[in-house]
Amino acid sequence: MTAPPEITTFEISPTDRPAPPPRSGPFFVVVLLIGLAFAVAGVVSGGIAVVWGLASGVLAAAALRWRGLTSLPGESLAIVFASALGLGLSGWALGQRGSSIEGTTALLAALGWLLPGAAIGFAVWRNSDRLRLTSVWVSAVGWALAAFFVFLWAEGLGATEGLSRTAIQAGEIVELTPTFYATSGFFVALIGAGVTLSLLVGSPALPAVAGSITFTLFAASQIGFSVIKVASEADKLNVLAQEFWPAEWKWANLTGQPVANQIVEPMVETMQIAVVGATVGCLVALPIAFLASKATTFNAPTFWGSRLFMNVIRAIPDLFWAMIFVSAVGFGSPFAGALAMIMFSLGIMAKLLSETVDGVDPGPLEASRATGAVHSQVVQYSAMPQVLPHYVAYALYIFELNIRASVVIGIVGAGGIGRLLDEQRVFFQWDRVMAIAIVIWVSVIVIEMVSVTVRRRLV
Amino acid sequence: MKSMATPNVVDAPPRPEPPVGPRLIRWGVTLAILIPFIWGTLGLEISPGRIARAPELVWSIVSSMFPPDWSNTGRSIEKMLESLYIAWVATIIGALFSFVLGFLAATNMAPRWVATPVRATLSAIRAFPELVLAIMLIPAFGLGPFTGTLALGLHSIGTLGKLTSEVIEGIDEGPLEAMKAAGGTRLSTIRFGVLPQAMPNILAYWLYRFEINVRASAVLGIIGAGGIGADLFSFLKFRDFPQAGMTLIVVMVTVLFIDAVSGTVRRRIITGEPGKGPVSRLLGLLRISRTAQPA
Repeated sequence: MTAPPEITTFEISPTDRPAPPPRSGPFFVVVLLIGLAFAVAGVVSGGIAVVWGLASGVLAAAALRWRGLTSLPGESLAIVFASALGLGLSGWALGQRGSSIEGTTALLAALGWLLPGAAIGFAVWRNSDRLRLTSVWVSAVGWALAAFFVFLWAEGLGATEGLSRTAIQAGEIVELTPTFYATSGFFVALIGAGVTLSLLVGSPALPAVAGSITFTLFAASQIGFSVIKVASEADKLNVLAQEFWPAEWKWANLTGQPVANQIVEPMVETMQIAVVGATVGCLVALPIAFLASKATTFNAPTFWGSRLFMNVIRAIPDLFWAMIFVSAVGFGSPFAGALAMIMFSLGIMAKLLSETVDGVDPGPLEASRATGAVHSQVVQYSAMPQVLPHYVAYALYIFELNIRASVVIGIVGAGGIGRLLDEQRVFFQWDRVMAIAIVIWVSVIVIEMVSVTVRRRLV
Repeated sequence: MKSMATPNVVDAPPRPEPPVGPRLIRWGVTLAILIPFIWGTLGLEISPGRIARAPELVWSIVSSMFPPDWSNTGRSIEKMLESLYIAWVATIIGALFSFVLGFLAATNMAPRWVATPVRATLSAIRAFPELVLAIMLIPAFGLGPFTGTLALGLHSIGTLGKLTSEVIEGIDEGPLEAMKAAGGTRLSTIRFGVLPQAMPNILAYWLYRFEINVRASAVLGIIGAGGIGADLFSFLKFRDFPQAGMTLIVVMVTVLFIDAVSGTVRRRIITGEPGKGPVSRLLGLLRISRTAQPA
């Protein structure tokens, strides 16, 4: 008898299974808490930078400890120490500034933030088996970069609210206020902590959201937009209702035309501009689209050339085209409008169609090449049938876009109903503007409904 | 051998006539394009001479824009940034509101008596072009970027709301049913069933809308609603073409740059694969890959 074969057993302990990668979601709270830590610390600091750093270090370390992102007391101590030193240095550098914060000052002040960034990055690295030591550097640089931009744009972010504007203009050096520390600290920590923790998650969602929030507040304050302003101006909607309603349909006509024609005729002109623009634009776009797709182009120069042409045309907004053509062929001419609409349609159609041509099945193209077809035949018999339904659907969509675009090009003098809108607008005849707007609104809705129905049938 | 060389004479059956239907359709389509086109050209006050002269006229304008006058570039860039801020804030407004309205307008999320009126409102907002909306807001909120932002934001709510609701309607219902069966609440169904499926597309639409809003906000200045449009308008009006050329170049470069960045991010979001760009490479360097990890 032979001995039974030895059976080897494998013990699988649950720890052998790799932990699922962490998700961004739960870390949002930590990022927000760290941001708030720096903000609260700024408020309580009383304008002394070292106190600011000390307090924010304690609060941030507590937030990290709460989620188990730091373990040893040494790490927490390092965070507290680094942020006290770093923010102290930063505050000192800001104190050396002139009246407002310039590039060099912002850079020097940002260097201080390398320390808390590195300390927090180090603590996170110590407690993760997913990160390399390089991540500490990235974390430090992330915090410093965030600090640089926040200090540079501190005025825009409302961080200098506490500094009096007249003092800045007079060139006086004003002590930095707790408000300044709180606001700038909040935004720097929000982005910085986002960067540090995104390394752990492996997705850029955290700094992207933090950066978006910061940029939104910055942009909003640059253009004087705020929720408070919207709320306080909301009662002005009454003004709108009074000015615009009731719409006035009949106004003195200077040309002696029948009154109904005042609005209808320009609207018809708008349609004509849109039709011609869409037709010519879509036709001209056809060869360009085939040249701008890798599947059907001749060679590299034609490919890149046509792509560049397409992108440049698309980069100029429709009304700018209209303004250029109005300067060229004359004010108030629908011809200029049609030319502008051709360029507008051309850009969009070439882009959409070339992307569709990119996705064609290469089989038929190869087959017709194998039978000796020349380039134009390959395109006509192998590529074109594949993209034709899309082409027709795009053409209808572009016609719809053209109607929307051509109602406004009259504002710059390119014909159509926009001209009427501009005439009444400059004389503040809002009830007449309302009448024109209603005509535009109804036509756009009707055209959209028709176009959507036809497109649904086609594709 | 000889017999093989003799040509086989086969009575070829008569070739079938091509069917009439496709030919009729072809003619019908040609006419359907041609007749409106001819009708359209009638209204344009054009003559062959005018068309022939147009390229020359346009060329004279374009060539007089070169070389551009770079003396005021700083101011132009500042104005372009203002346009950019308007576009960004408007996109955020649109994104926030349309996110909620998109759920209310989706027929698989909201009851019909909610979805239908929300939908109608969204398309009613959408039907006003941005510029018309801005003109109508000016009497209340005055000239300036605030009005422009409101107008663009409102229009964005309309377009993004529609796109969001379409994305939500297109999701796979399976996970939702599973969650309901497991006793998930309505909110957790949305959080774990709808959002993971819909969010990439919705995010991509937000970015796409930002691209469109940048173009739209560049134009808003024409009616005094902030941004670079006012500058270009006055340069062209007073026929200061070198400055107009400079402004156009600033707009073009900004738009192309935003398109490129946003396009890359959108592709990354939709495909879900890490890109090959510098940012992704940097992130890859920092993490220890699972396979290389010691046992």
